[in-house]
Amino acid sequence: MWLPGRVGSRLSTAETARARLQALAVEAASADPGDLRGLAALHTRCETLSADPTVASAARSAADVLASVMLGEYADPRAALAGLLDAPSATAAAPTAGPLAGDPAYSAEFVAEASTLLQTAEVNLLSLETDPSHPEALDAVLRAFHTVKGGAALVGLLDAQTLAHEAEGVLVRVRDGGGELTAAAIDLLFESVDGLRLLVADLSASLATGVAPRPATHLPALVSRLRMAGGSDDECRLGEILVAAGAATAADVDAALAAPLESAGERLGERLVRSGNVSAKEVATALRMQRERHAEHAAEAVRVDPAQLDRLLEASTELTTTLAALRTAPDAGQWSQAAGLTLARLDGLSQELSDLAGGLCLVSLQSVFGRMARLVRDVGVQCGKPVELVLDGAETRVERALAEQLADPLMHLLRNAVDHGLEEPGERAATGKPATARLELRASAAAGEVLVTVSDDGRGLDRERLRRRAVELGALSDGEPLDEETLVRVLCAPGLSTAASVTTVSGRGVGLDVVHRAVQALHGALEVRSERGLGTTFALRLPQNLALLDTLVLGVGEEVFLVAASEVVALLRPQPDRLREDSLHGELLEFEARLLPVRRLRRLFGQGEPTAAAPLPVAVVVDTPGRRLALLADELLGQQQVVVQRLAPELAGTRGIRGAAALGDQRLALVLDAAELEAL
Amino acid sequence: MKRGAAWLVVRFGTREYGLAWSRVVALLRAPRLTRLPRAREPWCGLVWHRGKALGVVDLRERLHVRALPGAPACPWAVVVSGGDRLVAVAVDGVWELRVARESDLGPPPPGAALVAGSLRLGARRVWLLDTDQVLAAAGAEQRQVAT
Repeated sequence: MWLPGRVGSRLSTAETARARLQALAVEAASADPGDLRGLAALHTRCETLSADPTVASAARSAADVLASVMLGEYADPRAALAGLLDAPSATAAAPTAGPLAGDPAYSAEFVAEASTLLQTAEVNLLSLETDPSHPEALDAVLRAFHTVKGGAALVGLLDAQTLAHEAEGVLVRVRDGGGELTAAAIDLLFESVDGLRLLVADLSASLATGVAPRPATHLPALVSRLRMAGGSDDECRLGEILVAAGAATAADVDAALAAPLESAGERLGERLVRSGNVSAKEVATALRMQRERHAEHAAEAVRVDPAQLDRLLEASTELTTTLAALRTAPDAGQWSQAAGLTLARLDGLSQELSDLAGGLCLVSLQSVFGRMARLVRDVGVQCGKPVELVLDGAETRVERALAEQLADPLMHLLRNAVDHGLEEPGERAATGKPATARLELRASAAAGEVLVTVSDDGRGLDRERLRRRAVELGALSDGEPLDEETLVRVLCAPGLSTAASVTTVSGRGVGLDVVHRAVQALHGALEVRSERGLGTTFALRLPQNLALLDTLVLGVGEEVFLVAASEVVALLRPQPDRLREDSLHGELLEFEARLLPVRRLRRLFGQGEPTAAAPLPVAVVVDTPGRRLALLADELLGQQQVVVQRLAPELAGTRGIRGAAALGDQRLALVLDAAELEAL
Repeated sequence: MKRGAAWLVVRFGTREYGLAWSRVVALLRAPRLTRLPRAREPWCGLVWHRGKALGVVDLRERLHVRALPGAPACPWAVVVSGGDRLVAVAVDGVWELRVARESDLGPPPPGAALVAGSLRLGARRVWLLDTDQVLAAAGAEQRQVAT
């Protein structure tokens, strides 16, 4: 089956392949014939390129020349390499776009495929209407427009190509963080789908009848609106500039915008000159003014590929660790004073670079808060509870990954608050509260920490009922008090729900343990404050920089492990009589009148048993969602702030390990995942 | 396995194998290996390379090669590229870099895992490893980078 997108890709790839082959020939011509590694790399690139039929022959010839040079078969290898400069342009195939344009067979397949793609776009636009930040739906619509654009170009349907291109521009802008997908923009995209359907239907009809498609007179205005929405609003500004300068009237500009295009991509200025209402000189002057304004705007903001930002952060991290290694080098003490001062200066610059790179990767919580407002409204309607949501601090800037991962826990907390935290309107009236309940979602950042709170003015937690349920589940000992500290652990015990009934919103005992896990995964902490009859506040304390983690450094046999300081409750050297074996639960540590499960890191990580002369192990008491745990290590080596790297995907399943971090001397330490260790 | 391709001859135990030079990114001598005791075979640990923690694969078990007595776990690590990621291969020695003549290339031994062919070097025979198979064995198949 012919797929427009694939053929479209092949055409654009042909040009790219020729350019790559030419670049490769230039590199080969200046290569050192004795540089085996460099030549081998060029050889491999030639082989890769030879898979492309448009340059296959030239690429294979170049690979043969390179192989012969490496094998020493040329008397003058430099001349042989220089000769490659002539090869690519002589033998590469010409572009093949022209012959396919207008081919009825391809056009018929384009009609069939485009119909399916436009349907896909429409279905996903409906999803976006409900949730404008739905990334999969956004990608699906983007792909559909992109593929239709490629197919339209192939069959010569230039109006469709232009329309799909501009619609794609609107989505690309949103995807790249250039703004929200507003309801107006979604309407425009629906209009674009309809416009493309008409163009495809016209093409289909013309294939059947042999009559050329009608000119698409309705499209220019739609294309202009899409350009404005997509940020390519040159035409709008040009029109405004001309009107402001008195060179054209608003009616002239509107007429030119609505006029049929003489060729694909014809700009407003060309249309105005063609109409005779504006001179070419006036358009040129307006264009110069437009460029100046764009330059001013460009000075304020630039778009950057997120992957480049990630690389910048990595490079900055690498610089920091390399400098740390330099400082701890064995001969560091013998350096001259000048060298020491230079290193200190480098340290300062490295810190500044690190701060700047970190700052570039921050985004506001605007988008997450926007989603929550919609959610609260919907859940409130579903539960029959009028709710006023107060948002504060949406402008707080956090790491992109944090903003993405914060949405789920906030969703759980807000759903729970509306469904369980808030009383029915009648119950509120009986206690003198206003019928409309109040929910507050606030965020702030200070001292490298982000604080996000969800507060309600509802009934507050029924501690006695919670205590009974927690005892039933074994999350609390009978008679143990339910203080503020224990409250989080109990609330986050898996399966705990005191909801009288399960609703479609919540009450299945799933929620707060998910919130706790998510917060811990972000190296943060969850706090709860509640007062009976007045309401409940959940506070999420999260690090502003996710990669940086304060850790305790533990020595275990010959290895070093790190545990997040935020998870550590206590450190102690337990006497042997505080440790006991239980046939059901294994080894247990007596800590604050409770028995905690013990995990010996030596055993878990294959470091063998300690010698008889070894000192008592260190017990690190950590909080995992719903449960405390004691980790036994050989020794505490210190405390260190590290940059955590996630393990590669194929290693990510290594149980009990959350990532790795360099310790400054090029040595890596594994970062423990306490929640997973609990399950081992 | 093409004429003109360069191969890095490495040793696992006492046996010689070839790694495609075009896929080799770096050679790390006596890297500091951080063991990953609970990782699934053939992963054995992590090494630090250019600001990144790279996974290390130990192929000796897959190749049915015994470690040399008393040898360190990772005397050398050869960093190979797998599309959008890097993987380090632990080897016992890095020997030489050779360009393959067509007449010296041969088929792999029947049923040999991870081997794509052989290269005759005088009286010696080097088994040429298929980098993609090596990565697949570790679950780190080369992924297409989206264009």
